[in-house]
Amino acid sequence: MPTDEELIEGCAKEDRHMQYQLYQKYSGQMYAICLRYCKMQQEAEDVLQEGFVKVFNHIKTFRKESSLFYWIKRIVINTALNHQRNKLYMYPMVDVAELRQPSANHDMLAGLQLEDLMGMIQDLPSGCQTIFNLYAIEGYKHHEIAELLGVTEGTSKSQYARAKQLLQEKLEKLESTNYGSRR
Amino acid sequence: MEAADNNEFFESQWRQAFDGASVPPSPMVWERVEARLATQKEGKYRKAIFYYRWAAAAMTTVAVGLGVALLLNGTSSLVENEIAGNTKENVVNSQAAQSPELRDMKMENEVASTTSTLTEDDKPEFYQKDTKPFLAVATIGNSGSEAIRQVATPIDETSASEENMFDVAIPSVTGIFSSERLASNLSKLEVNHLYGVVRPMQRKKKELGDQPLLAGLGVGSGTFNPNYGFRSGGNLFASASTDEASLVAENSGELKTNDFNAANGLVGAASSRTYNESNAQGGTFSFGASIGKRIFRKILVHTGLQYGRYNSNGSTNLVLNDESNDKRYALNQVSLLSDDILNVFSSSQYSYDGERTKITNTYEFISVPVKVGVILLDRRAGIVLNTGVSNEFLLGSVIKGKDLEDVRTKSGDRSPYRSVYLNGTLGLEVNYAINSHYKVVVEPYYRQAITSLTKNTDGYASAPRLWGVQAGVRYELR
Repeated sequence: MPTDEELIEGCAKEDRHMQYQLYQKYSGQMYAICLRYCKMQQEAEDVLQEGFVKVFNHIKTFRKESSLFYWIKRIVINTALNHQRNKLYMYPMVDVAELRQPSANHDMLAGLQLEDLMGMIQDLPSGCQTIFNLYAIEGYKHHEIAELLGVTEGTSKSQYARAKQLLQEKLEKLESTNYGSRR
Repeated sequence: MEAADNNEFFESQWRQAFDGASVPPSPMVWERVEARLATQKEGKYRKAIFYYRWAAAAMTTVAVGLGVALLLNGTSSLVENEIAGNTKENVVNSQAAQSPELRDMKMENEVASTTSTLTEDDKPEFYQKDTKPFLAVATIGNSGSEAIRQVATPIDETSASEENMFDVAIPSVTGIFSSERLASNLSKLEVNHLYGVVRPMQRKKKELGDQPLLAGLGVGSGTFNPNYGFRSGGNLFASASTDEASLVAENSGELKTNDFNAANGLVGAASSRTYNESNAQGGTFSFGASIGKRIFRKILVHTGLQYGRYNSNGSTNLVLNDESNDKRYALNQVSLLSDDILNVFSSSQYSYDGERTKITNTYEFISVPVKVGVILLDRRAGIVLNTGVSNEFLLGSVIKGKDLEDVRTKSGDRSPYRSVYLNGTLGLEVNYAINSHYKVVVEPYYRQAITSLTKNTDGYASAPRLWGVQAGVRYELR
């Protein structure tokens, strides 16, 4: 497998073989990100495709200020957000009422498969799903999310709280089901 | 505090769960990415080729136009009003030259000064105007670049299997058809994805030894300017007086151009009796053949052999009448050394004619250009920047004019011309592949003399320059 430097150089020359190598190297991780931001597999594939086309078209401008992985990840997330923006336009996010804070502090995700977690995130409402991904997993701050999505910081916070509550409920339900089945 | 800890714990759980998560996407995603990239690239090429085609068409039109203009206009030139303003001067024959009365009358009409260093104001009007440029050169459509055609040539199976990236869809396609034969035919046609987009071409890397030899034939036309001038930078100026006949006769066979120059006092200066070939542009025509080879991916070298006739248009009122044979000869520094003129001087029956007459000095050259081409575009349409040197071997020159005998001068020891002079050349070639072997080539170019066409002992120099367009056909021996 070529190094990142070789991949960048080859892709800048539009060498199809190197483009394929780069795709092979990063497409799995990027597809996992796309799945988190999308509802369906087909939609995630569209985002992945569009993201990699952007990567290959703009790789000449990559200034190596960060690692190639994070540069590609940023492009893929931005592409996913662009897809989400269309949905957010149709179903705008609003503040939700004060929610009950989840009390569980033990590791509720232990024993769950990646696809189970992915399914839970995909089941969230679009606005909640995007903000949960950005805040909980990518590590963005609420004011950054607000700027990124064109919503207020309060909306971001309340949508995140809503996402968290929905996930807690799902996890608790799953836990009780598992407990019941074990018993 | 506890709530904050709970929040952080919750988020870190999810972050860890997805840290390094990887889900292999469907192979079709890459097919679609590849198809998108190919479509974009094809769009870029189409745009570029559109402009290059127009550029090639425009250059061809210019070249053909110049050629047609050359044919229609012949080799005449000179502005008519330059001729119209001149009056016919009295004939001064060799007997009259001996007459003191006539000589005195003549001297009164001539400029008193015998120096050749004239200021701009001192120069006759004739020298302060540029003569109108004429037509056209021809050269050979030599050398050039090799373009890789953008036809969708299938990659060979070895490279395809090595690349291991295009064949993913083949099984699914072949599986649709019950006939193995049909499936294998489809495989050959490389219908290996389902998106209806032409599969991106894999350009086969060429080894240097694979690069073809190039051979070309071409013609060209343009404008030629001998660009005469004293080495100090002034225009060529020559004059004659009634003394000249005897001087010439006395020095028959030994004349140098300086003998004809007013500066050395051998001849009287007469501003109305001049020969001017400075800034006298004329048409050119040439043809030839070339060969070349690409030595690196973006570099090719080429050379060739071409014959060219370069015209320089001017006027003179130094016309020598051979009265015994009723023939007239145009005089200038060159023609004075020709055998034809020396024969007239050897007889006693000659006179000078002061009527200004249009003349054309036609130089014949064999050129051997050696050029290096930098390939700027290497597609079906190609662009090559050519630069190099060109040796011009002089075959001779002929001065022609209406009712004048041809005065021929060859290169050699007695000639004021060098046998060969060196040019620097710069051209921009546009080529277009009409099939796998033939290309049409059009190249506008500029040549500037590096060494003088004339011998420096003559006191003046000529640094010819030539603008032209050459067009031709090139064959690639693959």
